[in-house]
Parts: sequence; structure tokens; C-alpha cells
Amino acid sequence: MSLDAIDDDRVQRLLDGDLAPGEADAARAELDDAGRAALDGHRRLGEAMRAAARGRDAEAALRPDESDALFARITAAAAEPAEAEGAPRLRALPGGATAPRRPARGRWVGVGALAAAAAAVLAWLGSRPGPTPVADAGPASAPAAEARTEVLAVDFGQNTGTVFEVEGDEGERLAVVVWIEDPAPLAGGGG
Amino acid sequence: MKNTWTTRPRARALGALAATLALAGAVAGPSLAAAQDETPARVLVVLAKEAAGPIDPALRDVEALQRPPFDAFRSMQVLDRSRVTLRRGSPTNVELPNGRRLRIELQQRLPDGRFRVKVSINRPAQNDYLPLLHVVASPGEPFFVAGQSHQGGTLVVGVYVGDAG
Repeated sequence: MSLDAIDDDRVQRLLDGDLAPGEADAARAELDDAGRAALDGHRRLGEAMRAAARGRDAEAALRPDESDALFARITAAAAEPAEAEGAPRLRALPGGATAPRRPARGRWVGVGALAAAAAAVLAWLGSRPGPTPVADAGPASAPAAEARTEVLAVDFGQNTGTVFEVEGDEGERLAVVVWIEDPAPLAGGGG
Repeated sequence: MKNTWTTRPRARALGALAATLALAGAVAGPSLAAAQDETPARVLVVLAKEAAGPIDPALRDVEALQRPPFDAFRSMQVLDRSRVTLRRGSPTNVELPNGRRLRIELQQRLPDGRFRVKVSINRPAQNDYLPLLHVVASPGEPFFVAGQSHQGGTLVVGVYVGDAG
């Protein structure tokens, strides 16, 4: 799965439909089969994310202070299984999975189970085709042995959340993020 | 008698050595134990908004906040920076600007230098926002808990555990 044959800017413009027909054809021609499959995976993912954001209360999702709600929708959409071959495979974060304590509500979430949604979140939220969101599952296990920060388990309570990692330009991990929606802003907290 | 003359200094030397070792043990023992049982940590509380505005200069070195998805926020303000000492078995509380409380507890220092910590965010007499989070934290690699609504923005709480933080 490689999009390395063409630069990031062209990938983004290709995904956005900003390339002229001739340019788009040329860019596609430069990709191998795996690259084209990855590109299609990006597109399907983006469409799923946009569909989620256009949901029942899209107006709320677009309010600046409602990014948590947007995240919840994105997470839900991203958690749906990939429908077709060629959809991006998602890298699991290192760390153990935890059995659901309250499976009916899905409160306890293992990191491994969240990784797919998390990577998809990054794939969509990143306004440019960054290096992190979609990657082969195989090689990711190598650096897992390093002494890095790991989220072992998280109980989101009655909220919805996800766990993902932030990576730098070279793919190095900068931080681990636990993102939790905040459905009931505190009256006394000003938000 | 000769032996007595020679053994007395030896006995004195051994006694002094024993006393020195005892003193060293008395001093180093607790400090070694303390090193295992506590560690410094830093908590960074940022208010991030999608509305255009300034980025706090203090965040220039926090590279993670300049990357997706945080780069979707166009203004960031540091609301609080706390330096705390995490102690094993004794939770440390940090009050958040929205009235909730971040609680961090050191559980174990691992042989590889990482720290196993337990984190929660809640407010007395209310439902927990984050009931429980178990993290193995590497010094120098922070973890963030983000998503709380506050003053029209989102709180991003960064936790650095260990000396490198």
C-alpha cells in the first residue's frame, strides 16, 4: 500500500478532485496497484466521515465548540468494517486490550480495538495526507518493544472516546491522546 | 599483648567501616526507595478553539499540539501549568479550570524506566468524565486527555511523567 510514488500535495489534490482531468490521469498512472487501492481507501474513508458529519444534527457538529460531538460521529463511522478490499488497513497502537467491563454499553475499551477508529480519525481530520493515519499493520510491531508511552486500558464511563497517537513528520510518535466527548458541559465551568 | 596492640586498630577500623556503611545505608536506603516510589510530573492545561486567535508562545515546543488533529484548532491558550510529585499509593490531584479534578496516581516504576500511572477526571458528586485510565508513561513522551468543553473551546490536558518531563 504505497502512495509514495506521488507527492503529498498531489495526493490531496487528487482526493479533493482539484487536479485537472489530465493531471489526475497522470497521477493515477504513476501509482501501482497497491497505491491505487490505498487511494480508493482514502476516498471511501473520507466519504464515510463526511457522511457522518452531515448526520442528523450536522449543524451542531460544525459548531466550533462541538468538536467532541464531531469526534464521536467520526469514531462511530470509522468503526464500521471496511467494505471492500483495498480499504486502508489500520495500524494498532501498542498496548493491551481490555475485556469490556460493561459490554452492553461499551464503556471499557481496549486500545487495540480503538486503534482502527483512531487512525481513521486522523486520516480524516488531517487536512493533508499525513504519514500516520493509514499504514501497514505488519511492521508496526517492531517499535512496539521500545519503552514508549502506552495506554493500557481506559474506561470512558458514559461518554464516547477514542485513543490515538500523534506522529511527527518522520513518523515518530510525539504523544498518545485519549479523546473523550463531553456531552454535558459543566454549568460552572463556563463551557 | 602484641596481638592486642595490632587488633585494636583493626577493630577500630572495622567499627568505623560498619558505622560508615550503616550511615550510608540509612541515607541511601530511603532515597533509593523514594526514587522508586515517587517521580516528578508536569500537567499542562490548554484551552483550544477552532476560532482564529493566538497560539500561546509557551506551546511552541509542544510539537504534538501542532500536528493533526490538534492543528484543526486555530487558537490555543495555556490555562495552567502544574509541577507535581507523584507518589506511589497516594493520588495527586490537579484542579482543572472547569471544576473537574484530574487525579494521577503512580502505581509502579518499571525496570525500563517507564511509570505505570492511574488517571481519572471527575467532579465531586457528578458522573465521572474519565472514570479510569491506565497508562504506562515514558519520560519525555506525554499523553494527552482532550475533549472537555470549556468556554467555547476544548480542554487539552497534557501529562508528562518522569524527569524528562
